[in-house]
Amino acid sequence: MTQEANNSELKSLKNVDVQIKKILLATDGSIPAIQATEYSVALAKVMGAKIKAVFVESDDGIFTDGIIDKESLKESHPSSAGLEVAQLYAKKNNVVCETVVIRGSIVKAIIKAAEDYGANIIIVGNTGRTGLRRVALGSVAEAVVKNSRIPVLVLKAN
Amino acid sequence: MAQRTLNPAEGFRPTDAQELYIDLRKILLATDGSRSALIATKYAIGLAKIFKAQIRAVFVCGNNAVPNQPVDKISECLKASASDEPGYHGLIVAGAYAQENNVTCEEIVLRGNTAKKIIESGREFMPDLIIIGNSKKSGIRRTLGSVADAVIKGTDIPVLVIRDV
Repeated sequence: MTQEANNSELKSLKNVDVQIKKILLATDGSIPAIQATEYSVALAKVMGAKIKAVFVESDDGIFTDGIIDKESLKESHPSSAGLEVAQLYAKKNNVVCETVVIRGSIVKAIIKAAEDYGANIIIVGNTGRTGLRRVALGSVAEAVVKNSRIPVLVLKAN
Repeated sequence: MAQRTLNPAEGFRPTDAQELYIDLRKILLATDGSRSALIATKYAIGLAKIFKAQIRAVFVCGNNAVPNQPVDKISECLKASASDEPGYHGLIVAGAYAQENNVTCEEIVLRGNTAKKIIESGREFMPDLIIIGNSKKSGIRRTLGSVADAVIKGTDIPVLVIRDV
C-alpha cells in the first residue's frame, strides 16, 4: 500500500468489529483436524457462529496431487469420522453444526465449500505430508492458504 | 497395500467431547503496510476487543540501513524522511487503531528475514494466535504467500492468514 493510502486510513479510523458468523471447518479426522475442530467450536461459541464441517473424499489420491504414498497412509487414513467428532463437540457446546462429505479434489473442494457457504473463515488442521514430499508439495493447509480469498486459520497438533 | 492405522476420529467416544473455551490473551500481528496487512490489523483489533487480548504488532524490515528501534522512534524516523517504507505506516496504523478501540498494542520494528523474525517473535512473545496478511507479490521470483507458508511451517502457534481480496 502506498503512503498516501495509509495516511488516508489514519484519517478514517474507526471502531472495528470482527464478524464471524459462519465457520467452514475442514476435517479428515486426523489429530490436527481434531485440534481445528475444537478451535472451531470454541470460536463459534464466543462469536455466535455456526459451523459447516466438511470431509473431502479425495478422488485424486490421498492428497491433492494424484499420488498415494505409503508414508501418508502410515499416519492415519482420512476418515469421515472427523465429522462425527465435530457433531459431538458442537452438541456438547450448543453450537449449530452441519456436516457434509464432498467428493473431489481436496483443496478446491474446501475452498468451493467455503465460498458456497459464505464462510467468514476457514479453519483447517495442518495435516499430512511428511519429509521430502512435504518439502516438494507443501501441506493441504498451505495450498488452501495460497488459494483462498477467505481468511484461513491453520492449526497444528500440539 | 500399506497397513492403515486407525484414524484418531474413529476412536473418539461421545464422552470425549468436552466443553471448549478459547483463551486468547496475546495476538502477534505481522504487518508490512500492505492492504492485506491492513485487513489483518483490523482482524487483530476486532479479536483483541472480543477476547480482551493484547497485541504485539511487528514489521520486519529487510532494509539493513534501518536499525532496530522501538516505535516511539518510528515517527522521528519518518519525520527525518528516513523511509517511505509502508511497513512503518502499517505499524502506525495498527497503533492508531488499537488506541481508537482501547486495545493494548505494542509496535516493534525488526530487521532480517521476514518469516524467520515472525517465527522468532512467536517464540519470544508466545502469542495464542499469529495474524498475518498474505500479499500478492508481483514478479516471477516471489511466490505468492511465501512468508505465510514459511511461518505456518515454522511455528506450532495457530496462524490466521488474511488475503487481500
